[in-house]
Amino acid sequence: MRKKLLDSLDKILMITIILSVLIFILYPFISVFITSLMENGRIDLSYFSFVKDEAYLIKNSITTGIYSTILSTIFSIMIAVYFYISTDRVKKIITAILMLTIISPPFVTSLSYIRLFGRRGFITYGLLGLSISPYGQLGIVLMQSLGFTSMNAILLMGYLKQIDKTLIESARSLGAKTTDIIKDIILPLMKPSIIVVMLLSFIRSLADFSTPRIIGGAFNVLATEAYLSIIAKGDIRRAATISVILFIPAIIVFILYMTKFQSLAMSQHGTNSGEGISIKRDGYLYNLMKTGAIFFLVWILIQYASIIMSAFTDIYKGKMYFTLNHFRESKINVLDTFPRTIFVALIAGIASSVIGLILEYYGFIRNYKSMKIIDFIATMPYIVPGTFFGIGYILAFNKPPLELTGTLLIVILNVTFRQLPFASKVGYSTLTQINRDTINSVKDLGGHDCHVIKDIILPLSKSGLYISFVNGFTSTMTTIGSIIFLIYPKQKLATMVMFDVIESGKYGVGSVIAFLIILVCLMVNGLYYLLLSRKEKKKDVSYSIGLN
Amino acid sequence: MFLTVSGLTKIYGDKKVVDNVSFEAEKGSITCILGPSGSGKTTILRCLGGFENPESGNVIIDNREILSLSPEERPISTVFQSYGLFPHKSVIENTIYGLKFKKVTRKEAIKEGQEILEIVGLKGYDNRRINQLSGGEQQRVALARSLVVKPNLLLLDEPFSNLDAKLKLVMREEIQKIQKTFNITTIFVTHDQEDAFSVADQIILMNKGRIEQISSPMDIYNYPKGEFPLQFIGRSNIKSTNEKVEFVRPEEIKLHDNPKENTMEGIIEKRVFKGAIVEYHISTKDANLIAIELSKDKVYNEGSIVYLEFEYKVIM
Repeated sequence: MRKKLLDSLDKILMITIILSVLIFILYPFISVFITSLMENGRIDLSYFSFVKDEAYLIKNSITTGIYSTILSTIFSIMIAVYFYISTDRVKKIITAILMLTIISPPFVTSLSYIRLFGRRGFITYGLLGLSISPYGQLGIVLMQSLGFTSMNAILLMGYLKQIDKTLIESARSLGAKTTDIIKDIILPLMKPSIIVVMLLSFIRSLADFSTPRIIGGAFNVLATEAYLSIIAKGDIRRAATISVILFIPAIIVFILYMTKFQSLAMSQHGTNSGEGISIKRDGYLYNLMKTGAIFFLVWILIQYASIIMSAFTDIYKGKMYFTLNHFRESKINVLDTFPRTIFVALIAGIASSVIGLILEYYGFIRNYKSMKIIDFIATMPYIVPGTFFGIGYILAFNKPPLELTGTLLIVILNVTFRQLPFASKVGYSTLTQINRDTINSVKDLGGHDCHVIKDIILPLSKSGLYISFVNGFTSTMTTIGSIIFLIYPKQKLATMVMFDVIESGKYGVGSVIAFLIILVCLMVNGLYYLLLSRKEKKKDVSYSIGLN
Repeated sequence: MFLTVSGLTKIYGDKKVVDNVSFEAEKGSITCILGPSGSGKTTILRCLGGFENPESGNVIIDNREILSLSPEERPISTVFQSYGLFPHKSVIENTIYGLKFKKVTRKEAIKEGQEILEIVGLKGYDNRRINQLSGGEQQRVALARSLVVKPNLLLLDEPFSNLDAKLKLVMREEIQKIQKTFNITTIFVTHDQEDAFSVADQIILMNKGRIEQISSPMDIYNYPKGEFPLQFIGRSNIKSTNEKVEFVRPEEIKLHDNPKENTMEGIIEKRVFKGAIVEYHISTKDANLIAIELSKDKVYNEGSIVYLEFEYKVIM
């Protein structure tokens, strides 16, 4: 009797997970395709004619993508190599600076770019007396590169950490100097991860609409066109069509990634050697990397300093002065928006981590074949442009039985399932670390699969759940692409308010909101590291007890 | 002396992992640093290779002080425990990597590399990838890669630990043969005394960062200096009194059916058959002793009365 109850509980849980992935990921996807490809039940490709009519959009997107990819890849390689060779103290500083960019909205750098290099920029106008327009492709490329470089560098750093240290020691033992080691060992070994980073940068650039929107001026790309199609023209079918076009390179990259680099991505969750390497910090190649890395890091710091500066200052008759006016001005936006944003981010963080873990439990531990497909579908939001995912939600949930447009629920669902790929990846790597025999013991001692989840999987996955929660929370706090079309004016989230005020030229208020978003993310991330370090201390204690 | 290490000390935190270690090695000899895990043996090797900076000490190779040099400048080459082969390079590229930093043309380098590969038994393996090789083959490439730069001193870190039992026997002989061919002064580290006995000219026995004994393999077995060498090397029946410690190795106890002059009566409590040898646990009026006999000789049953002929040796 009891077993029957538990059996059905188990089944219900699995079916719920499967259905939710199908409804909230696959269905919106299909809706976008149907809308763009079909008219009255028949295939109709007329909307794709804009590919010919407005070919410049495609050209703009591709060239911007290529430039941003090249620039961000070069800088991220420099940072990663410099990080790998540098002292622990330098490593900490680099990590802190890179984290700063990870926890801020993607277009925050564009805001500070305008403040620094715009017509009335601190540097161009204030220091150099120039009045240059910051808008255009150069600005987009620079700001995208700035954002992508941090992500890329973190990926590459994680990869370098796993390189077997004896490779470097062998090379030294055979007479290789620092320059030789970088050239012969480090860079060639990084090659697969560099390719991954380039592919990711390229599709990220294609998908990004907020940077071009803020800093592109008259320079339009496909992603901004999709945005404008809805916001300005109300033509959702055109937006869907553009999204489908943006989806093509994304899915190609994704399949490449899954087939060729899966092993790479997986091994990244494996053990790391932890200790750094100690090779001489000299030679032209090292110094080149160091110069590039420091240039980039200082640039980021200046940009962030300028955000704080513009949040707290104003200019009157050419003179800068301290003020809290921007805070006062943004009070109406903030008081209402921030609690809601944090609420949404909390739910998205928690829900996505739990769903991701349980999904991987059925796929990996229980090894259901059908779950492989579900797992694949669950990974798709990672790769598609945010706007694609957002448009999918409007199209999928605007009529009964699932009429959700206009509610806060649709926003929460959207951000939750958008974070699912990361959560399920973390879930997978957590589960691979749980000993199968531990799980089998529960069943051997008479426990049910439900007990396995409750007594083994959940408690042993705590740190994994923390990681995906923090990531889910931070990403939701800083996301904009997938939710910009879903939110009604009355229930705006912080990033959108920030986007709006910047678009209407209120840079001071924009800076305040940016500052606050960063502060909230910083607190959540800080709390996580605090918990982590306390846990590690505990671990040390138990370890030494074990030894004695 | 070709190699002189004196007063080498390495400290981690407040722990002396290598404590005032001094030893010498002749040109062309094989020295084995033997000891349990955590005895500091690998740290000594890493200090010699340049991957750890000792707090104090001197290392002189061929009349040249080398501690002030960085690893890449030292005339020393290390074969690491995990080999450290470059996975993105072919066998020949791995082998000739060190020649890049000598004034050798690529053509000459390839020629030299092929010669060495032939010596280590990998002729024709030039273009293989590292991940296509077996463990033994990988070790040969690592060895060839170190030999090609003609180092004054070759270091091998636990060279047999990644090999299965059969392959281990083969590689022990191979390494010895190759070492003699090149007449290259070699130091290797191991925790396995059989490795040390079968390959080394001299054994340095380490414990807790200190040298316990430096001797030839036979001497360290027959004349242990102190209790640690006695306990660590081989097995023995130990009798310690306040004044002295005495021991007798199990194979030195002879068993007889009948009493003789200077024999002691005992009863076989337990018999353990081990293939080539048989191990007996014998209780006598003084002590419980372990004796070993070849299984091709007479095998006693448990419960038999035997007469033991042996002599205790005093440790020095």
